[in-house]
Amino acid sequence: MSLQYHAISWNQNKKVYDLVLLSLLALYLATFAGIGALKNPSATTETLLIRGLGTAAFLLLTIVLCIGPLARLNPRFLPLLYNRRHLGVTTFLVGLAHGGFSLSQFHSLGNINPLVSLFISNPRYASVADFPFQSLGFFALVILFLMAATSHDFWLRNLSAPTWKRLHMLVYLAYALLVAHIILGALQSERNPLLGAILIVSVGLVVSLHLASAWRAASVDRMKLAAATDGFVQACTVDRIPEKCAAVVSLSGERVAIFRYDGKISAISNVCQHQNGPLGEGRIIDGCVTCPWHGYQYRPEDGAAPAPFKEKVPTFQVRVVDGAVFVNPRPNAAGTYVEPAQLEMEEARPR
Amino acid sequence: MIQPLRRAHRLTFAILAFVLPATLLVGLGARRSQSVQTRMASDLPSSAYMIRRSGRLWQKHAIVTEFFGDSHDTQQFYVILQPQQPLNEPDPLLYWSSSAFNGDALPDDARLIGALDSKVLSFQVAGARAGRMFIYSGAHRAIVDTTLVEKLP
Repeated sequence: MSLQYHAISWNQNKKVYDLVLLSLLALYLATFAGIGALKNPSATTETLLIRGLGTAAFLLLTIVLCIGPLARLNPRFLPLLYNRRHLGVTTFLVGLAHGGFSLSQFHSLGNINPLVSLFISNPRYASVADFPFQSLGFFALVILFLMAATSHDFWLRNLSAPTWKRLHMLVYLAYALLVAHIILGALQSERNPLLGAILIVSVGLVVSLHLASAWRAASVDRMKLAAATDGFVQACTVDRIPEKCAAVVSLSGERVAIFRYDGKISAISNVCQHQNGPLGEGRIIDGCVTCPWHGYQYRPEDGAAPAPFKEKVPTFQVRVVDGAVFVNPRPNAAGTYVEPAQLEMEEARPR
Repeated sequence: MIQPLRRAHRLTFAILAFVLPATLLVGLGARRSQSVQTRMASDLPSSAYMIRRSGRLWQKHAIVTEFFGDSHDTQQFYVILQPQQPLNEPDPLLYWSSSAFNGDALPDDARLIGALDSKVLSFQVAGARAGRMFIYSGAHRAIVDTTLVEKLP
């Protein structure tokens, strides 16, 4: 969407989001350190910091992973998704602080490079209870670094969306490595059930939310649509589509968003070119389909973003017969103009 | 367009739905029980015999400390330390010294017995059998705790 590179395109929403995030993080660390010092007076400041930063990073990553499926299940969580990359970068920075302090506390002041010591000081890879869990945290941090470093539309464009997306799906590997890092590390000696409970709740939440949103999304793909003789498929009925909104159907394995607006029907790909947001869950604002995730816009009749922006999505031939919407499953090239289907006076009356 | 990504997501979570709980179960199951006395006792030689046991020896920490002698060698001793709370000190080491302690640094004759993890530590004492033990943090280069050890038989 931007014509030139800006590190961060600040706006009021982002500033509020980041301010709330940093305030909550500072509050969490202060509370953690305070309670930790009270319960364990012999603990040093470094120890409390290491534990506070580590738990904060894990909780942040849990939240980051839950935002996506939550936004799919309920639109009221969309504001959290809006600036999720700032949350992700913060997760990395907090994790980096935890890793840095740990390296300094446990591997420095010796005659071996601390990073080398991290991997060779405990060679018990065959043991579960004594597993060198710190190396698991190190690899998770490397993944989070790669994601944080590429958390910008600049990289999304230069790496291409599929490559960028594949890289960012490594977050799941990072999460699994961190769960193992905690269970084979802190939880081997920590007897307080709270840490174990947090870990179990985190895993339960992340897995169950993802499975729930996948199940709901799969219900669209499982819809069987009747085919007409000329290649068109009956997708839905007009009265199923609210004014300025869309119905989403699955055609030939891909999602199509069928929008109703100003007495017309148009069909475009459901996938936003920015970060694959669900266009069908957005609305038509100022004559453009608006992605609910980051506000990218496309004209419904040709799938092209309004000038000066250049994004385009594929369009689909569409027609309306006796209140039923028919769509040709074969997509047109992105940005191809398709004459919208006109609704009869009766059909055009908004729901 | 989006379907390959959805399939990759579904496969990832189908795998994680098994791997993550399995990791939790394996990790929790591998935790050492707090009562490791039986396991540690099996690391002692058959000639070892208990001299004394106390949970109140150390000045700052609650550490159950057991001293063992060796019927085959009157100068050989073993000690097992079980902190009741995590020490929170990086790289804790156990030292023995027979000389006076000025409360500041390790005495000059302090001898390293071993690293303070869950195992039996052995040391030899000739001559005077009383002394002092120190828990010393190798990373912080500071004495964490100390105890006076009465004469060992």
